[in-house]
Amino acid sequence: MSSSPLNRRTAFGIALALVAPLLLACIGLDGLVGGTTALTTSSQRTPAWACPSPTPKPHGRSGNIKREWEEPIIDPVTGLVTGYETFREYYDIWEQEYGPRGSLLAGNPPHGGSPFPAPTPYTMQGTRYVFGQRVRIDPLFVEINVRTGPARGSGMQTYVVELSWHNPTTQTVQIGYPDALALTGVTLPSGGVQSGTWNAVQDVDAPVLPTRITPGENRHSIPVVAPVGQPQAVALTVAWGAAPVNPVATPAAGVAMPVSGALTVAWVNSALRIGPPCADAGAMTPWDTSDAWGAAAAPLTPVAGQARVIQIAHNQVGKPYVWGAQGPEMFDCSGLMMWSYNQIGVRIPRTTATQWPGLRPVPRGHWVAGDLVYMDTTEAGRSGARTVTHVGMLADLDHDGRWDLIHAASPKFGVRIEMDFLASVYYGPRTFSDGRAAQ
Amino acid sequence: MRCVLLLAATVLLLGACGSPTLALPTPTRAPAVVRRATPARDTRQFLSRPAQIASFPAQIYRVSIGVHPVNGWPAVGMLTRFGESDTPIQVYARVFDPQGQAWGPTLQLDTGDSSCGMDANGTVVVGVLADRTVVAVWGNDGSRDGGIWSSETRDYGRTWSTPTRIATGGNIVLSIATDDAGRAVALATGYLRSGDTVLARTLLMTRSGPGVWDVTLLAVPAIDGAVALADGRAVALVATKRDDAIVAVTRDLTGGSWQAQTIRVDGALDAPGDERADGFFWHVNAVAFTRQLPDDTLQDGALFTWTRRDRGDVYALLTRDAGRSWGPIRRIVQDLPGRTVRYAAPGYDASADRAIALWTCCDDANPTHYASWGTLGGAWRELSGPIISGAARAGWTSSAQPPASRAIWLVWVENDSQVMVRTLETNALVPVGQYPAATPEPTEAPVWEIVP
Repeated sequence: MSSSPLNRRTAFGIALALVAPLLLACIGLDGLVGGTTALTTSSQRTPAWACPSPTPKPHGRSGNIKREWEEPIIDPVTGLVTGYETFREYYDIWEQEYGPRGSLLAGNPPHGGSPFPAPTPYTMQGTRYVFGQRVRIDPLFVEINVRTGPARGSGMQTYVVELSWHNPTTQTVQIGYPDALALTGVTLPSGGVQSGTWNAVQDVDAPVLPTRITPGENRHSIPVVAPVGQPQAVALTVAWGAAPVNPVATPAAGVAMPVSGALTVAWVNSALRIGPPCADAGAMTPWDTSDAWGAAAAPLTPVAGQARVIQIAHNQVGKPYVWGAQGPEMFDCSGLMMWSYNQIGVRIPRTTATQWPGLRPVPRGHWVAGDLVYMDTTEAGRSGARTVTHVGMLADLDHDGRWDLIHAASPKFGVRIEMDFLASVYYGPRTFSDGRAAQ
Repeated sequence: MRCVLLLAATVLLLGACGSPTLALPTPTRAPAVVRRATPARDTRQFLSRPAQIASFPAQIYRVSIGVHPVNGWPAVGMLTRFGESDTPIQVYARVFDPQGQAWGPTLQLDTGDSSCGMDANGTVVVGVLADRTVVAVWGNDGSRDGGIWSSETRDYGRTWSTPTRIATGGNIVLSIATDDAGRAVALATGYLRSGDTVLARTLLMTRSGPGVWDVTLLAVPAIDGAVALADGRAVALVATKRDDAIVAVTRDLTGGSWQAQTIRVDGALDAPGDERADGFFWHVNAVAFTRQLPDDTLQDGALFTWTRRDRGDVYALLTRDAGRSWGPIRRIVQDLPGRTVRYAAPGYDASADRAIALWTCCDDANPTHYASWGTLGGAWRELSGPIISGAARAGWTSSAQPPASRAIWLVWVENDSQVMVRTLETNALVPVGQYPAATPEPTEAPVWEIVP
């Protein structure tokens, strides 16, 4: 009997899956990324999706004017004012869910005029979502879409499942797609649906399936071969981190009770039909109202060799961003810095605008972990303006010699980590100053 | 093999010569009449360990199972929806291919006008005919008289016929039964509008050809029920939103009309002052069986089981003569505080001549399967603890069993969204002591039995 190419590929995949961790351990890749762990979710936190705001506002120059002011035009020769130039500041993409000048906050907290009202997210929990939704499968977030690929003959067709992972931890997570991912429904040309389980396969377009979800953003394109049609449903199965609830006794016959120990989350081809329309794929913070907002918000392991204040800030990753919040359940950007330093007995000013001038400047070449960096995240920030609107904490979490940033980013992203943030086209140009809180 | 043939030829040759030189046991014919533990063909070739045959992204509302009346291979019907709550319910079916020894594709059947609609109370049942045709019957949306639809497959579910509307005036299909003579009868309920009054009715549908069914409407307000075929007769039991009686409906399929009779429960089921909601009968299931009597004659009967809404008791009703007479309604599982039994499914062990009931209990959040057994017409006993069905969170449960098989096919919804099947051999449920002691028949020499 000869084995089919698929079987040979499957065998190769299994062998690779077995050998790859050993190879990675040998060459020390794990050390570079702060460790590797299998994709295991907590049975204490139900998969969830959250809309950062049901009423997103347009942002940038296509949106509302956040602030408008005039500045004198001075003749460089005479020094006289020759006129006035009007400047406009627009809402940033981070601020798209905020009402104009904080109207949604209505003076609470007392930052009247600030363009930072509280967001009004809504959430859904469970194990079924629709294509395009970004779902928290603790501790990760994943958005799933499916596109059709070329026909394969014999009534079969390639589908490509696009997974956009966000890994807020410093751990690389292992995933075995052939077991974890399956297309589970196809709408046939006849109009009816065929249900089944068509697992991820290695293919000419993906000769080796990815097996790692590294810290930060990951995009994986996973082929699946299934009957010709349109994708109807996808299932992603991960292991539970804790023992299944209430395993049933097996009193007789010596037959073991199958206990799944697995969690399957489904995405279906359907329109989102709860709540108001949401223009966002989903927030990257829980936004739930359970006690998971507390200390258990992110099951992160301590980062070896980092300062205490970094450990503290790092342990807040995954918690929601709410403007004005000073922790410990939710934070805004300066609130996270202040709260973290307060935990080690260092008092720093509350707001970004007062922290910056209140701390000792440090030249970029002399940065150390725990220093704070300030940014101008306004529309003008990229061009070198000097309006401090954001702050984060420096760390080198993966010991690669490049600075990472722990910060309360936005209502959409919550408290999170930017690996090698100076290389970011967004954060790099906007970073302009720094400060040291601890002596 | 060559050696065996050579040896056999040598023995015959030596025997013919009349001069045996090789001492061999003398072959002896087996007795002409062999008492069989089971009256007819065995179906063990289609035993199944617990297997997940379908997994849907959403709640599965109902599952049903039918088996071939002789060979016992199964087909399963499922009701679910892929999308959100305002997308239609969908009917799926999956058939086991006994030749390929594998399950076929899981396909949606209710396409086009036959769409099951939005009604989560919709149902689907599947029956396997003796000629290997598999029939699926489902109801249409209850919000409009969409009727009852049927589709058939003759290639083990790879392709299905275009759905055909086989009846109007009904929308909830409750049960289907087939027999080894090729007959199929389905039981349904529906609502007929008469002025401002909506009256529930019972529909009995007898298949007369592919996509063609003879429909009879009875003025019995069915809310649930089940049908079995035994001795050429259709035997149905209909629950009517009462907890003091159940209606038996029978018909000789070779001729005659439907007959109905009310069978009452002896005594009140609930204690006086019980303030729980009405515990009317529901989730009726049936199995037809064939008994071998001591004089070697065969007797066809049917066993029905059912439960009550929001209660913990299970009931059984037996007919030994295909509905010509009925035994008393028996409460075979007691309504104990704190436990709810939603589904019960019957079975029968021909060797021990014992009735069986499988039922879901007892942790409301994580129910699994339990079992009871009883003598026909006599006492029932519960097996201690759950049986090893493989269910950790069992929902809708149903069963099917060919009359001559000792394998009960069990299907259930596991964890809301998975469909599980397995067989349970009845001798694993009925205690050893309930089987008749072996009676060795004296022979002059050892019997050689050749097992093909």
